Amino acid sequence: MRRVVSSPIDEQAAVRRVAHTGAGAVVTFAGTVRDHNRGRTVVAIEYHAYEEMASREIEQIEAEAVQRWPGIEILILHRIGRLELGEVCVFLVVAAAHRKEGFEALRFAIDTLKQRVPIWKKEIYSDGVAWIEGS
Amino acid sequence: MTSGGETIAVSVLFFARARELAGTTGATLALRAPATVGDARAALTETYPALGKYLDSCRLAVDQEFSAMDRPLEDGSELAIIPPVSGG
Repeated sequence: MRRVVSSPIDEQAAVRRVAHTGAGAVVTFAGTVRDHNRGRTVVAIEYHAYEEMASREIEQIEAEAVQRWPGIEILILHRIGRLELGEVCVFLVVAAAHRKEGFEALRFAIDTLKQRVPIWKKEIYSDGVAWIEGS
Repeated sequence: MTSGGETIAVSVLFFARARELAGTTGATLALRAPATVGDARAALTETYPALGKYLDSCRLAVDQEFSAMDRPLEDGSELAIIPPVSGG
């Protein structure tokens, strides 16, 4: 399954892919396009990626999460291109035996994604644009 | 080891703000062998003066792996300039 996609993320399909009967907890996180940042009014965000490396890093983060919390299933999807307000840019789902490791693995995965997956946002304002660097 | 005068060709990829500063999505860099990531970085600073100090805030990846400055480059290596990421 492609981890970096240019069409809307199918959240239900992602959940179905990891959910299994050994899991008592299915934890999800959706990151969405917000209408403001650092005091400016955002009208849309363009996501750019180094696609091959971004996919590879995402799959590596999934593997690291499984290594740290054995038995979980995890899937991380990131959308690129121009996204309008409220649209889902990143979606993570973890299926775990118990909620504790589910929440922990999810938090680890989104925090790590923000540190090292080569994806960048360019915010579009009513009166200009800006690359966002770091998060 | 390599004989004197031999050169290698490295494909360079620019992303996000580095792409705007370089004014191109990518380029081929000819380097005298043996060459490291640090050598490529020095050559980039000369070829793209507008990138200049901005490279200090970027990480470099070779063949899709974040790499240290002393990593050797080979003919055909892919070197990516990775500005601070902001996904999610």
